[in-house]
Amino acid sequence: MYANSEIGTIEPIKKISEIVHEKGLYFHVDATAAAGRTPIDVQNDGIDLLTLSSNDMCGPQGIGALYIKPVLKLQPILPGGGQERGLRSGTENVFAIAGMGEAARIAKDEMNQESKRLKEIRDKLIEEILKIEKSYLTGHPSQRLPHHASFRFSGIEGESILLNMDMMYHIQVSTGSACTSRTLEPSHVLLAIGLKHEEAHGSLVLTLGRSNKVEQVPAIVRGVKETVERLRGLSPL
Amino acid sequence: MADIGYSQKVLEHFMNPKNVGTIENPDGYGKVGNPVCGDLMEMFIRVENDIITDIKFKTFGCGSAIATSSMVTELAKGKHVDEAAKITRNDVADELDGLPPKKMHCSNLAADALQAAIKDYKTKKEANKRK
Repeated sequence: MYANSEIGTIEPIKKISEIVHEKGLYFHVDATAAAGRTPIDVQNDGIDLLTLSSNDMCGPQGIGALYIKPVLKLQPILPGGGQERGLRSGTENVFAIAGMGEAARIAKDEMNQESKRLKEIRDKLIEEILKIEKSYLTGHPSQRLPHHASFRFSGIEGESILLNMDMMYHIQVSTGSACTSRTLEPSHVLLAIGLKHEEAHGSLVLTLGRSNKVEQVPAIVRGVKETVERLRGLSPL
Repeated sequence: MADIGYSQKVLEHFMNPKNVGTIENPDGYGKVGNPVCGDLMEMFIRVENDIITDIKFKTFGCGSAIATSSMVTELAKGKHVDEAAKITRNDVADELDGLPPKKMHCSNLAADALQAAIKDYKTKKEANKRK
């Protein structure tokens, strides 16, 4: 991943690329979370293949893109009519393609300004939420996506955080808790950065978009604070 | 919340859980689950003449873990311990108008916590008889 969708960290892609290429391998990067949020330069970063998703850039759902370094030759996954230069046969969804292109254009045009605006909101959220007792930031403190703030709280569980935030405050959040996953296992990302199972259960992800404003910060912070307090009041830990 | 698939009753018990708290020197105490798995429940009962007169819980867990804890306390309160001992995980789920299939293990825990507290009460009672 170029940037991790659960903890917001922007990875040192160029360094990783060097390691991959030293081994004589190709480098395929998933930029779903990063595209439109942070500048991506496939040549400078040494990326051979790059995956992009439209809906994560506010484009239509059901369309994505794959960048292939011009010198690479891929085997088709769907043989047939020969569309998409023979790589993926099947009639193209022209409306979705045009929508994704336009979404990407807008995201690129607005990226500098929008990143700056969202970073300000993000940093205020992080500053205020970390004042809650036993709350911790997950992911990198500065090398992170401009719209992404992620935390964990001791003694409470993520699905109940999500439910409480939605029902009481009408704020939609996300969590890496086991209870929201299909496997009932906590997020492998949170375990991979060294959290214990019981720590990974209490995670909260806040992502911001165009409609969010800095004026909303106090209400969001109040929602998180009261949710954590209420659930800790129920918890034996 | 449609993708979690909770019934209205589960959401009500999650938002306004009944009998939250602890009882000092309880007549029966049960603890089940493990924070590593994401669910931990403590159940406290006060028993007079074999009737559960008071019951409290503390739960770490997801929405249904909290809702089932609340529901099991409501089902057990006022019941004879032998009657309460018959409450099963399915009873709890039924009273909540069902639980999503993968959440059934959580309601299992709420009934288990109650059973553990009743067992503790009975063990203590036997020990007292022998004194």
